Amino acid sequence: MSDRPDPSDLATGEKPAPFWTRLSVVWIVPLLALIVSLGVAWRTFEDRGIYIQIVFPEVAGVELGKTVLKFREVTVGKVETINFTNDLSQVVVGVRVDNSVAPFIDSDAQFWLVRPELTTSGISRLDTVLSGTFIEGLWDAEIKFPATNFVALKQAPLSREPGSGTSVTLSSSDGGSLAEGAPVIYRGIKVGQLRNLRLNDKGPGVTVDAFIKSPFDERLTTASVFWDTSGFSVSLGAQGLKLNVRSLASLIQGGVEFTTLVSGGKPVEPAQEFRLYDDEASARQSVFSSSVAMPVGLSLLLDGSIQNLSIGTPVQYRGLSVGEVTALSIRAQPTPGGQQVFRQEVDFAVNGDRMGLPAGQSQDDVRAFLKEQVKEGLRARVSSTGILGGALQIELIYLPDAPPDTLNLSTKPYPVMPTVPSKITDFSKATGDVLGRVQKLPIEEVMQSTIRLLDSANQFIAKDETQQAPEQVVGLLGDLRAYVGKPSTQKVPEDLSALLTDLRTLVAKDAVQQAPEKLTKLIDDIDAFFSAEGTQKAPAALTALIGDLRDFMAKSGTQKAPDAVVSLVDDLRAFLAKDGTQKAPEELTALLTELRNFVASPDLQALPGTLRGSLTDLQSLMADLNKANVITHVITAFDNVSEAATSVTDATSGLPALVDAVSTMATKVNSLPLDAFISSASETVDAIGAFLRTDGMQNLPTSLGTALDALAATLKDVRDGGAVANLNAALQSAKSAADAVAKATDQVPDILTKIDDLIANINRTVAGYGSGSAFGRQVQDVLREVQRAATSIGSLAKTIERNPQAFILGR
Amino acid sequence: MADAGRQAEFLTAREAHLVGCRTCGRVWPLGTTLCGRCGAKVQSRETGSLQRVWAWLLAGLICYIPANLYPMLNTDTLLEQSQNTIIGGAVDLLKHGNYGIAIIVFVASVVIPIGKFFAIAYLAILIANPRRPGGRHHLKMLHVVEFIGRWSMVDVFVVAILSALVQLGTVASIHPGPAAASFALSVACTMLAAQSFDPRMIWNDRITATP
Repeated sequence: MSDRPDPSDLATGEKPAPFWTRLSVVWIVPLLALIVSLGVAWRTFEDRGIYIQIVFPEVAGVELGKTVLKFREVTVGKVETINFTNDLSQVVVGVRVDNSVAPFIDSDAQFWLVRPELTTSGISRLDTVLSGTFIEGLWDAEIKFPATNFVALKQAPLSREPGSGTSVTLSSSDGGSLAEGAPVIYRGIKVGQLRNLRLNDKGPGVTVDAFIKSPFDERLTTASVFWDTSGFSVSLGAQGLKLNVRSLASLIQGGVEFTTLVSGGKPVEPAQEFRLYDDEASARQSVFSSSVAMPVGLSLLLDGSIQNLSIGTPVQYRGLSVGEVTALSIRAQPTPGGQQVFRQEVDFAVNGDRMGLPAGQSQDDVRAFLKEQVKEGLRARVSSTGILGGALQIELIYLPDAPPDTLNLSTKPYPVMPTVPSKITDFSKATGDVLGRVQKLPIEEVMQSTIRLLDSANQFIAKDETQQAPEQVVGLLGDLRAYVGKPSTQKVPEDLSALLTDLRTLVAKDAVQQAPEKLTKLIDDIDAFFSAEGTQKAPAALTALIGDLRDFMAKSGTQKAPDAVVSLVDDLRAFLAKDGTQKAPEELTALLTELRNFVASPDLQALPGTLRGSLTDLQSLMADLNKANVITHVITAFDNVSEAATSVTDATSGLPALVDAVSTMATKVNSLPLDAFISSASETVDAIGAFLRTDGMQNLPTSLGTALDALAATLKDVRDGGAVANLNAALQSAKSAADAVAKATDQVPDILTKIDDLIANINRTVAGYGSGSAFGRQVQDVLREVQRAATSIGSLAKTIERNPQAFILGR
Repeated sequence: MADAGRQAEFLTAREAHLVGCRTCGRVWPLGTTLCGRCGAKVQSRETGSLQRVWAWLLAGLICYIPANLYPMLNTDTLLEQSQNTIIGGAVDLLKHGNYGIAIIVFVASVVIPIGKFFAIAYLAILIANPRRPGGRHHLKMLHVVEFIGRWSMVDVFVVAILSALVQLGTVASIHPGPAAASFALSVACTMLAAQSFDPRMIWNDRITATP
């Protein structure tokens, strides 16, 4: 116990206060700090939003942590990650989206990159130059299937909101005049713009989307036509100078205008295709204006190469344009011989509606119709049109007598329409031919002949007798003038004309080429005639005949004959010496006087005037003659002559025999009792003398006088009668013809006046630049555009002034 | 004990049963609770001092975390918008070759605050340990911490001055980020922590060491 150590003195004290009573109030501070920090951290985490991934083909300008996602120009997210897809071909951008919009980003959401665009219509998204590229998103307020993975659009969608407009597709052969963002104009108002200019997937040409804002898209129907209004057009016509500028923007960047020509179109469906025409005129004339009817494609295979056919060449059917050429190419076709033949292939399209088929026919219906028509003789051919025949068209015509053919509908790419040879009137070629013919005319020879003729005429005129002639001619002409002035005389040319016509038709019978042959043949025949044996012998026979004659003359009876003749002459002289006979010349003089009177009728004075008309007729007649192949007729004549010559030859083959016969006859005559004959002849002459001495014969001159009187009376009748009147009428008609020519000539001043008017118009137009004229208006429009642009720039400047940040940062 | 000899050289007020007023400096006998001259509270050793140190230190630490995580500066320039944290800013400066400024920023914003945390924590732990080597250099350490603490506010001042000066509208503008506030709070808290120290407690060991 004792060694039990005493418990040491325990240090005792009061019980310490519980530790929380010793806690300092300051501990609240770190507690608060902790709470606040945690709160901030939690909020930060909570506000982080959702993470979505968008796949882009490329992300130029996108920066990690800087590039933002905007929705209606409000920043709603930021790029957090940028990665590649597994095949490294695309970029996956991870975006943290604010919670405020995150629920709305569903599978319908669209994303695209927004970059500055510098186009002719202006600079868009200039803010992105400074703020950098950003991603824009579009989604609606409906929450559908949530999604976090998206594929970005290549371009901003045209319609941001459903119902804000309609997008249609335009196809054109050439996109050179179109540009992204170019305006779509309807009656001069910009109603939309072009987007996504691209090459056509299906065929040649380009395709562009046209977005037409609401409510303008109500004007768009399936019957609308679109055309290119790029740039400006200047046309100088009878109405003056016309400058067409739609808008300043379209002048620079091109544009597209549309209108609805035909009523009854249906409302367009989204992305409906329309054709874009090169200009308004072709759009308005378009046969495919209504896209309701699908054009039916056809082909032509042409043997000859035909220039001037081009895309857009019209296809005519019963005088109406029903289609147009769509393509031109060359097609190689194997021939049965194994060779290849190359033919021009012309593809064209026709519109069934235009061909009279009821609307709404399918392409097959139209093809079936065409097949039926081809059976009935429908053929295609290329023909010329226009004044000079320079423009071509394809004609669908009915040729019932054409060789039967069918339309094979299964031919690719298009059924081949059977063709007939083309009918092309090439004006210039025809003119060239005419000139060539003129060149071939023997003008020089004609000139020489003319010169010779003139020389002869000179010589003739230089003669004294000729010098005296004019006086006589003057008198005669005076008479003639009177004669010709008669209406009846005027009818003569008509008759003459008719006569010539008859002559022409008569002559118009055979071919030209045979002429030389015929001539040769004629000459040959003549030659043959002369070289014939009989002909050769003829001179000898003649000699013999002459010898016989001489013998005959030597006969005594013959010697006496002259005496008888002398007495006969004496009788005659006695007859002539008779009073009646002496009076005959006087009668003749009277006759001549009548003739003069007849000629001296006043109607003759109309002659010179009418003569000109006659000459005109003659000219036209000559032209007709030219046309009517006179040479052919001449050749026919030659032919006939040849035939005649042949007959002569045939006939002359018997000539020697004839000469022989004559010779024999002469011999026989020689042997005749000619003495008796001569005496009888003498008696005969005596008898004649006795006859002349008879009373009746004495009265003959009186009868002759009477006859001449009658003739004079006849001539008088002629003068008084209708002949001259007729001639006059003919000359009158010639005159009217001349009048017509004169009238035609009168139109020359008219034309000049019109040209004058045109120039005056141009003057007026130029003078009216200020106002009123189309040009002036257009210039005013342009100025208005400029003014509008200036106003916009002014307001922009004001905006910048007020809020520079907005300009630069696009806030 | 190496210090023992030196410690023996002076006498603490407590050993002399005296207590000094920390406000006016008047010395009173131990046990006085109110200074007769200035009316301030007189305590030989401030109870709860260490608690307050720890509390402020903890608050400073908590504030220091967001100060480093959140951006200190929001810089909007014409072309871009950038946000810099403290470390990020220092690194940026370093990248741009401004080594001097980078070091200043780094020292003022990182080294000093963290050094202060450690220094204060070290002192607080030392003081709480009754058998510790005493003295003078701990006091010196405390003085250094107190002196340097205010210079940590350089960062906050820089941010404040920049924000005030660089307001060029769209061209450039600087706004303080959330880190600026929390950094300022952190610095304030550590300064309060340093101030919460009762330097007299450094000499407490003598009470326990010399019975």
